[in-house]
Amino acid sequence: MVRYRLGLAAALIILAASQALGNGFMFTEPGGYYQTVIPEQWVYQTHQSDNHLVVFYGPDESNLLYIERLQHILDDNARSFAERTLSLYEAPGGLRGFQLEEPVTELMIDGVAAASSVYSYLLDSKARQWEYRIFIVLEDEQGIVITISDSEDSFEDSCAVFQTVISNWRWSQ
Amino acid sequence: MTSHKTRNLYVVLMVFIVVVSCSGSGEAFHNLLTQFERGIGRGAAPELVKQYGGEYVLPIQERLWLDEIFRRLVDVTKRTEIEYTLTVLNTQEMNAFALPGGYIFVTRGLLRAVGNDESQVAAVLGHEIAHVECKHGLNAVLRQMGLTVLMEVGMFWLDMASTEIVRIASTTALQLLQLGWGREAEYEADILGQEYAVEAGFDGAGSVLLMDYLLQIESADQPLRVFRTHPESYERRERVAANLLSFWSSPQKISDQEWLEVLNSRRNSILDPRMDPMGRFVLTVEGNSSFQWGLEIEDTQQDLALTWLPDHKVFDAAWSPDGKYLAVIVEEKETKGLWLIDRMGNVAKKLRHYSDRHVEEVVWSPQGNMVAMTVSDGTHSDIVVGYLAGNVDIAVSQGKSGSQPIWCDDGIGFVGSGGSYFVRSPDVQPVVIHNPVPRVVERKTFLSPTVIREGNTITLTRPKLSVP
Repeated sequence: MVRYRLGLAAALIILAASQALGNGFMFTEPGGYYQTVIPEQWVYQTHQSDNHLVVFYGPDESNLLYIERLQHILDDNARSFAERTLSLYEAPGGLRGFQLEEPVTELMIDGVAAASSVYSYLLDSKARQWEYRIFIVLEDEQGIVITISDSEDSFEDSCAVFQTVISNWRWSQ
Repeated sequence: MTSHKTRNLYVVLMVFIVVVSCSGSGEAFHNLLTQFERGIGRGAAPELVKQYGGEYVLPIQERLWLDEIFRRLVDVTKRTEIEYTLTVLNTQEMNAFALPGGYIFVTRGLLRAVGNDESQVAAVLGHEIAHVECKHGLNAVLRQMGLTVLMEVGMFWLDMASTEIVRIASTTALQLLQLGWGREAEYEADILGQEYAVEAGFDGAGSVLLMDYLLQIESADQPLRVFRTHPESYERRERVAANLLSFWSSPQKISDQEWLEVLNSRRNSILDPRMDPMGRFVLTVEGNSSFQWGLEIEDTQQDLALTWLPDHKVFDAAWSPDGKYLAVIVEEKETKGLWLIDRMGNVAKKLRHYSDRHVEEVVWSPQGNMVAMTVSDGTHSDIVVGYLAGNVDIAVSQGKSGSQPIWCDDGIGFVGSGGSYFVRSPDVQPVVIHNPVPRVVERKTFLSPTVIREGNTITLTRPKLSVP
């Protein structure tokens, strides 16, 4: 009976994993820090990515997902990292028309403490772009920032896609 | 009015001399003079900002980067009583200024021109900081006003008309700034600024590259009023180029054991210059005094035997650390030259020509911004370091006849007269921003053609251009 239940559990896990991968593809960061599932129709952008930044464009004209790994982050925790970043975005030289849409809240990403926030700013076209961003501080002064970005109209849809990325997030080390 | 003021000043001087002779205190004088100096800068700064289009607020990332360069430079200054500030001016004009008291200004136009080359930004800021360290502005103001330092200190000490005097001094500083602090002051600031930059961990070649750039613009006669407050760039360029050697150590004789360590830590040395860091090409150039026609290359990816530069005598070649270029010693019209060849086999840049001299044994620096070569005139050979970004060569063997250069992390080992030698290179550290701010990425718009399929035919239409 126990053996049967274990087998069923394993089958369910495999099924869930295959469903997740069925709607996207597994992406492993070049530095090997994490891996996650990138939803289907989201395309890696070579010209905007580098050793520390990976950028994916979504199927619409205004949505994109990007993940940056930063070094020399001296903030004590994810909340401090988030609050410092947002205050700089709000300051002169920051993001044009910056608005904090949702305050910083804390969450866990695959067992690691993180902080998230939603803000918006004005593009050159004067259109308002919304971003849901998750901040993480790792050991060795490393920081990870995961961002979904979209226009206000379709932002909620992109956030739903973002859940796929977050729920499948796994740290490699 | 002027003579009336001057008469008053002389009265103040007389009083001051009496007071000083009674109770002089060196530290108090020094503090008062510093206050006066800062007063000049503080008074002149708003007007200068106004004259140059106001303050320009850089995007956060650029500001953090610029601040870090500035901080490293300020950390190596000697005048601890000065609080340095940096302001970016909102003008296309390419210029930079220093007001007495540590007020440093750089224009948006100049920052844009030098781009993200931190060595050139450090050269600009180091030069302006050096003006303050040398008190060029303060001394010029005092000279112009016909005052001595002691008189000014005396006025402060006696608290007589200090506000008025500082106001006049600030106005004088602004007027003098338009003319520059003087030719000799500029030369001094060039050298000292370059030394600050190197001490702060930047490449001293930045000063030379900056001058090269200014010369290029000056010769193009662009109406940008480039560095119009500074003297001709050619003489300045020669001086900072000549100063580069001073940042390298003298060649030190090393033991056989140390030479072995150099060999072990070699980077792209003559023993291993053929390997393409990207693993595709294999060179078969001999790399000794003899030459061969062209570069024999084996393309392991395509399984092809290639010959690059087939009509040229090739004396040596080495891959850059990033594998983007081959540095090649080539003979053209009976003159040796240093060329860069890209991965397609095309000549990317003809860097140098060495008339009447033999050049061989090229090796790259670990950072890929310099090469070392053996250059000989038939009787004597030097280890010459060539900066790729500018036309600057320095003979680091410094009179010791040298050959077989091997570039390690911290310098160059070579075989010289009577043994092996090592010359230490300046320590260059990239800008590291502590607590960086995450980037905000925006989606780019592409003009995509429309694909029309008709049977076996695919037609691509021209993308429509529309103004957003």
